[in-house]
Order: sequence, then structure tokens, then C-alpha cells
Amino acid sequence: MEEVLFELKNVKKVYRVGEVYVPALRDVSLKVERGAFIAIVGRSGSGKSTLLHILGCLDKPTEGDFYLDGENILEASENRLASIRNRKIGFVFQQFNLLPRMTALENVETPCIYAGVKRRERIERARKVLKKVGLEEERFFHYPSQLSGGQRQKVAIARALINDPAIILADEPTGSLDSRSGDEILKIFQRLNEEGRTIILVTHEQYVAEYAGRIIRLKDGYIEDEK
Amino acid sequence: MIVELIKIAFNNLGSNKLRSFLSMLGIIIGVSAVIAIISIGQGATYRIRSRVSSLGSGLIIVSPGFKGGKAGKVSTEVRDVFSLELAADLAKGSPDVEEVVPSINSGALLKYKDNNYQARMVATTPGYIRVLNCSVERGRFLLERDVEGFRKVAVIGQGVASELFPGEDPLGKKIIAYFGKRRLIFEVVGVLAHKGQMMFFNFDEQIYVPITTVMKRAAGKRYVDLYLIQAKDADKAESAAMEVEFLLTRKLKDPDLFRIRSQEEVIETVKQITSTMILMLAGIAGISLVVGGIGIMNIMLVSVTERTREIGIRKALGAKRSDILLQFLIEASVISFIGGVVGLFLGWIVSAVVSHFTGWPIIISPLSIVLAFGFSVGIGLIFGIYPARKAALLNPVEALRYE
Ligand SMILES: Nc1ncnc2c1ncn2[C@@H]1O[C@H](COP(=O)(O)OP(=O)(O)O)[C@@H](O)[C@H]1O
Ligand SMILES: [Mg+2]
Repeated sequence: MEEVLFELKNVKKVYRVGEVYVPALRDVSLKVERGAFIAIVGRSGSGKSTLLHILGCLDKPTEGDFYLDGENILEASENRLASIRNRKIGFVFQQFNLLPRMTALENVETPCIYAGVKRRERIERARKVLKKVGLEEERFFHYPSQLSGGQRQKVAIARALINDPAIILADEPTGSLDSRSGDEILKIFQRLNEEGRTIILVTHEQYVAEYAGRIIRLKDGYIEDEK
Repeated sequence: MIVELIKIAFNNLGSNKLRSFLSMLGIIIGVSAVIAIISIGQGATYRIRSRVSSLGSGLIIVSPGFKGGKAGKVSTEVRDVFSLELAADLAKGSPDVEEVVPSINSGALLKYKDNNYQARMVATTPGYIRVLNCSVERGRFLLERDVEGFRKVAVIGQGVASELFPGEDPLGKKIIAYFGKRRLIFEVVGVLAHKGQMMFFNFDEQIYVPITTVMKRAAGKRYVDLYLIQAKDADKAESAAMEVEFLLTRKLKDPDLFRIRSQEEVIETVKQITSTMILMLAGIAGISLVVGGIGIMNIMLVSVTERTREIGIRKALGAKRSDILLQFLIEASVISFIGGVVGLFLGWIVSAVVSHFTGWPIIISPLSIVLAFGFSVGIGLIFGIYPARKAALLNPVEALRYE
């Protein structure tokens, strides 16, 4: 039995820049089953990031319906959205988005602070996920500026994993990496998917999309095709 | 959670030490000003009050009033109203008055051998040391028979003794005193114990002589400058002053001819003046605290803008609006709290320095500490709220896109 995790119905997203309205998503309907590995592809400006932000409850659609795990997200409060982002979803970005004045370990701990986890358990969990993504132990106390791109992205993935979320959303996670580190990162996503986590990956590189079980192609805010 | 937020706050402040210090400066100056002003003010008041009451309690001073001053005329001090007879009448006629001591004060140049000294000459009666709480160190004070016999004897203060008679015993020595156009020779019969400065004159730099001697020898002067009046006891000071006022009005038939000041009145006036001054200065200090708060707000606004991306990241990781709000509020209060602590020490140092030079005691009341701290943290919170709210309400996606 396939369980539907995400359900978008006729979602539109319009940004307002001064007097001009910029449509980022025009009419998107989409269902994602639990445990899927999906790649979203398309040209730059086609609305991939916008779609991912909506799926990750960072932004609300201008129009349409959105259910996550059966919950109507359009009616959820700010605090509820924060809590969903904290526990159900892990975000990974192209520019890593680590906090520069914190060590790798402290960065990984951060979502746990907002989840109200005690310090000792936090550190224990952070070490575990850092090991899981394959960061060498001597790097744990390095600052982001002292790490390579691949290492930074590992830290970012560990941070996304620390509250053991069911969903990982990644926006061009290999976009800033050389192909070897990129492959390493993609292998991690593959493993996470095998553990049963739902992975949605935005990319514009064809070979990255090969990892996914399903590819959704966006064009000018529409879903152009799917396979 | 709070612990983590405080850690984050210190981390951020530490990463830009100069800026954090500059943003604290306003609060530091404000708090140290409040602390210093209040403690110096209280020290000064305390000192003046203890000086005034060292004169003994229940002192009333009757001095000449002022005439004229209306219609463009210069007002002049009334002369020639206080006679020795009137002094005796006052003493007799007022049941709450213990003693009335007349006195004439003038400058006098004193000479002994090659030493000379410009002193204040107080011509008075034996009651003087009782009314003004002085005591004799050596020899004796003026006696009734000195006054009755117009005798040319003198008692001198410590300062006079040490200047005119260095290394010598002044008792029995003859001093030449020049005052007005007169010249008189006095024999020193006593030296007063140290008492020091009191309001405008210094007991140690005075010479005390019988009032009759000065009145008779200074061209038959018939009137004295003022009356020092001692009430029966401190509680009766007010009624004694009223009795004196009543009697003087009846005898002189003109209330403008005299002025009555009681010691309590002087203390009250001093208290009023100092508390008004403290209030004014504290107002200024308060303004500088507010300016300090605006400085904090400014820095916090800059900080929120600079860290827009950080705020976006934290929100993406699950921070609630209240978490972000609290983070920035704590940061603002940490700045103002540290500013408050530094200001407290600085204010204490300033008042210690002032106290060192003036000899006033340092009085730092717990109230002023609580006030300064409460104020500084309060100001951090009040002026931190706007920037913190701004941070908390940022849209996460916009914040993440911010370069
Ligand atoms: N916050 C925003 N404000 C204004 N326009 C935006 C904003 N976010 C995205 N857009 C616009 O929406 C369109 C889709 O952007 P995006 O989803 O980032 O595309 P992609 O990630 O596929 O490159 C673009 O035209 C972009 O300029
Ligand atoms: Mg994008």
C-alpha cells in the first residue's frame, strides 16, 4: 500500500516585486509517496527552488491546496510550521548554509536546540550523524571555513538528519562540488532513501537525476513532464 | 534553551568586540553617571548635615534684615537695631530660650613679634562656646568678668595659635590687633580645640574677644551684628524661634528689620537644594541612558540586517519566531547588562575619586544600584524589542535568499 506524503493541488505561487507580480509556480499538482526518491529538474528560473520551499513549509502557496502527511499546511500556524521543519524535514542547500561562527559539531546540534533536546544527548546525536555521513572525527571541531566543500555538505546533511526526519529536501546539493565529492554526497542520499526516508532533490545536472526513481521536469512554473 | 541563547549572544558579541563595546558605551556612561551623581549627592548632603548639626542642636540665628530694594533702589542691610539690652530682654521674655549670645564679627590683622595673621575677630560673650558647641583646649574661654570689665583678653583658634606662635605657648602672650582704624593689645588667655570649617567660616581661624571691649573701644559702637540663640532643647527650637520673632516684632515694630533662621531651617534648605540638584543631574543621566538605549537599538538593527541569512537558516532548521525574538532580546540585554556592570564600577570609581578630593563619604545605596541595573537591562529590552521583532518576523525564504 502506497502512502501519500505530499499532496499539492493546483498550487500557484506569485512573488510581488514592487508593482510587478512574478509568477514562480503557475499550476502545480503533485503527489509524492512515502519513501520515494524524486528529482526535480528544469532550467534556472523554472520554479524548482520555489516548489521545494513550499514542500518544506518554508513558504506558503499563494493559491491551491497543500497537504503534508494529511495535514492541511495552509491552515497551520507559524509555530506548527516551525515544528514541522524542525522534526519532519531536513534541508540541504547548494551553498551549505552553515553558521560560520560555530564548529561543525555545533552546527549539527542547532536543530536539536530548537527541539529542546538536552546538551549531552545533543552532542551524542551530533557525533553519531557526523560519523554516519562519513566526516572524519578530527574535523568535528573545525569551523566551516576550515572545511572543504564536500566536508561542509556532509556537515549540512548531518545537521538535516539530527532530528531523524522522514523527509530530506535538497536544493542542488552537488551544485557547488566537484564531481567526486558530488558522487559521495549522492551516495549518502541513496543510503538515506534505502533507510526509508523520502528524498526530494533539485538539480539541473542530468546524471544526478539518474539516482532518482522519478524525475519531474519544471518549465516556467509548470510541470512539463514526468517519468 | 535560555542558556544556549545566552551562549549565542556572547559568541556574537565576542566576534565583534569593538562594536559591542561602542554600543555599550552609552549605557556605561549613563549608569556610571547615575551612580556617581546619586552617591556624590548623598555624600555631600550627609556631610553638610553633619556639619550643620555639629553646631549643636536648637540653634537660632537672628541677623539684620534688608531694607529697600524696591523701585530700583539697592537693598541695604539694616544696621543699628540689635543692642545688648535687647539681647537681655529676649533671654528674659522667651521661656523656651536658654541663652542669647550677641556677636560682632569683623576682620582683624593680628601681630605677635614678627608674625602676623589675618583673622576673623568675633566679639562675643561667654555663652558663645556653649551655643556653638566649641570646647577649650588650653587656658579658658571668656568669662563674665572679662565682659563686665571691658578687659583686653582674647581666646584664639587652633589656626591662629599655630600661625602666630609656632613652637611657643601662646598663653599669657600679648597680641596686637588692628581692626577698623583701631589698634588694641590683647592678652591670650585660652586656645580653643579644633573644630574646622562650618559653612562660610572656620572656627580655627578666629579670635574671640569680649564684646564690650570692642564696643567701647571701637568708637562707642552701641549695636551688635547678630544674636546666636540657644533653645532650651532641640524640640523647643521652633517655639523658641516663634517667641523670639514675636518679641522682636513688638520691640522693633518692623518685621523687615530682622531675619530669623533656625538650624532646622538651614538643614531643610540644604536638603532641598541638594535633592533638586540630584534630581536634575539624575534627569540628565537618565537622558544619557535613553541615548545609550538608542545606540543599542541602532547596533541591533545593523546586526539583524547583517545576519538576515543566519536568521533564514535558523528558521529553516526549525526555529520559532519566539526563538529568534528571544535570541536578539537576550543579545540586547547582555549588551546593556555588561554596560550596566561596567558603568556601576566606573561610577563607583568616580565617586571614590570625588570623595578623595572633597572628603565627602561615598554613599552608594542599594537602591541606586538596583535602579541603575533595572534601568540598563530595561532599556536593553525596550530598545531591543523592535529589532528583535523585525528579525523574528522575517520571511524565511526571503532571508535565505539575502546576500
Ligand atoms: N523571493 C522572490 N521574490 C521575487 N521573485 C522570486 C522570488 N523567488 C523566486 N522568484 C522568481 O521566481 C522564479 C522561480 O525562481 P526559483 O524557484 O528560484 O527558480 P529555480 O530554483 O528553478 O532557479 C524566478 O523567475 C525568480 O526570479
Ligand atoms: Mg534554485
